[in-house]
Amino acid sequence: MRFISLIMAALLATMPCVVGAQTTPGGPVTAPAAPMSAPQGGAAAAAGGADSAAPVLQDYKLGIADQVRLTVYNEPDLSGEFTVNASGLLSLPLIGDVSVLGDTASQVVSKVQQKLADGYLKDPHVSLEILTYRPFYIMGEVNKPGEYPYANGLTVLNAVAAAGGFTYRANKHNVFIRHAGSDKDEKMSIQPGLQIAPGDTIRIGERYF
Amino acid sequence: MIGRGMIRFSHVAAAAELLLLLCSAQSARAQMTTQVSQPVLDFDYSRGRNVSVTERPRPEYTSVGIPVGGFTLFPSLSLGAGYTDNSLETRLDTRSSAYFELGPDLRLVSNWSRNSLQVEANGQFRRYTETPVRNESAWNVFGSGRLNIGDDSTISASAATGQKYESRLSGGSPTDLASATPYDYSHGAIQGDTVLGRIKLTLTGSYTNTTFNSVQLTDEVTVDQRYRNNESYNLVGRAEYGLTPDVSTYVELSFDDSDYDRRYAQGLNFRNSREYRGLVGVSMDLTALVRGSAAIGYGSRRYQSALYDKVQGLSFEAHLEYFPSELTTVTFLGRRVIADASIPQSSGYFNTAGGVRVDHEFLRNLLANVGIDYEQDDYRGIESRSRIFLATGGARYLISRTVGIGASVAYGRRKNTGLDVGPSFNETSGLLSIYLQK
Repeated sequence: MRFISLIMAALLATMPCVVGAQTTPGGPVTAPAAPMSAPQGGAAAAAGGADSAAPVLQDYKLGIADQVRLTVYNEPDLSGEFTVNASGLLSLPLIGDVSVLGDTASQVVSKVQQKLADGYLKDPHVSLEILTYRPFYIMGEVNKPGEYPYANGLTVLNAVAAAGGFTYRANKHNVFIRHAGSDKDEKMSIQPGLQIAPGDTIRIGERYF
Repeated sequence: MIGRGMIRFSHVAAAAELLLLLCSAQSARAQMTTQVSQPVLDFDYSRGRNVSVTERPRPEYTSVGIPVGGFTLFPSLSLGAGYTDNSLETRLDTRSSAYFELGPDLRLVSNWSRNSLQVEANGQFRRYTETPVRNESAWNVFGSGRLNIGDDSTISASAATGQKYESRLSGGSPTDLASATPYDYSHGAIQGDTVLGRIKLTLTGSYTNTTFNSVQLTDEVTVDQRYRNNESYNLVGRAEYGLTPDVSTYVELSFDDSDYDRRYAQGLNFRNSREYRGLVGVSMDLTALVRGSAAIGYGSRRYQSALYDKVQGLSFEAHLEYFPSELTTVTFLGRRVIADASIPQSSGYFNTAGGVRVDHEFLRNLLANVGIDYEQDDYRGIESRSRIFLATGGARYLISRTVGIGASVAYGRRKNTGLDVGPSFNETSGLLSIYLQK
């Protein structure tokens, strides 16, 4: 009886691999493609005031230090959580490094699918989810300048609150934002809905009167 | 807190520079008095809600001192160069002159968690290039201590001695004075205060001895001023009741016994007197905009000599700070007190003064200020009124923990109507200084 139970357990464990498994060259089995998930906010420590219904970052382009979850349907060995390294590459199993710097999530999915289909899998189905965005940086006239985790929908005022609030010398009317990859600061008027993007460097200026 | 006793003014520009120096260490308190003596009880109305520009701590520019066991030693040195268009502070025969100042200071402060002890020695030496008769060499040694008794009571004591110079804006100086007016002083005070629920009680007793040195007139005649030598005993009691955490009312009663050296008085021409004063006031720290203390009452000074009439009337003290922003502090001062005259025809006078001062923080290490003081002295027994106007402006740039530079300009004017009491003159001066500290 005990021997029969063990046989049954082994059969049950192998069943998902048989039903929908993508196999190595020689016998792939396809399954309906899983829908690509839109980028979602990861750690929300800095988004104390961010609304859960806040608008999702559209056409977000991946950058260094973004953390993603890549799921290849029926291939658990090819799925997992990966971080964009300093070279802007995702190091994925089987297909190696994939350049993703500056690509949107859909572009990355297309690249990975193309590489997997090129001699490894037949009709691969890939989904990508952004777990954690690059941090943002805030400095100048805030009480605790530094690096903070980004959360979807974060505004400038949220960022200032995360950094301990304005100092007594802060200019509360204007802010200087430098986006990742840019070499110029953009001066903007601080409005309640002014959003920031991952990787932004925010500078709160000093007032003289 | 026990005040430091006498405040020194030797010169219009020195008055402005002293404002800057006081600014850097303690709360802004525009100096508008020309008296030798000051009220002994300081204003203490801060509840921790607001921080004035001069009170704000600047740890990046504060000297760290030299550790000496349970104390810290703070040495400092100031060097200044200035110019005045009326070095003799006279109406006629004005002479302009450059001058140089040297101000060494050594302060030893305890690091204890309870109780405290502080000893300080400093000097201020000024040398004029064109009028050396006005040279000054002031010095001061000061010590104070506080003993904490439980959580709600303290006993404080202080003692000071030194040589200072009387401001020419004061009516105490002869009209045709050429030299500065030095005086030696000794001052001791003891204060106890305790908090009983909503009531705070403060009692202060002090003793001051002032000895005036001889002075030289413009015609090189030496005048003996020992008739102004004075000993005074002062007792002040204050009871304060907290209506709310932000507002309290208080009653203050003071008694002053002043004795002059009769050996130098001519006949009945001595001014021994006793003064009683009562004030009722309010102390507040309201919102983020204003805080301060104001009191009004009555004072009466009676003289032993039959020659001199009593001086009595309205008395008030006010000190308000307004914060239009965190970078700007506006300070209003007002006072009406009784002082002894220095001319035989009059017993004393009412010193009524008001002032406003604006401190602004352009940068964390760049502070600027402007101020205006106005004072009116109304003499008893004679038809005489003196008006003193003082306008000051200055800036201080803190370069590092050890170095800073300062600049100040000042315009002072004294004018008499009726019988002349003291000089009439005006003076414009400026001073550039650098200070070094450890």
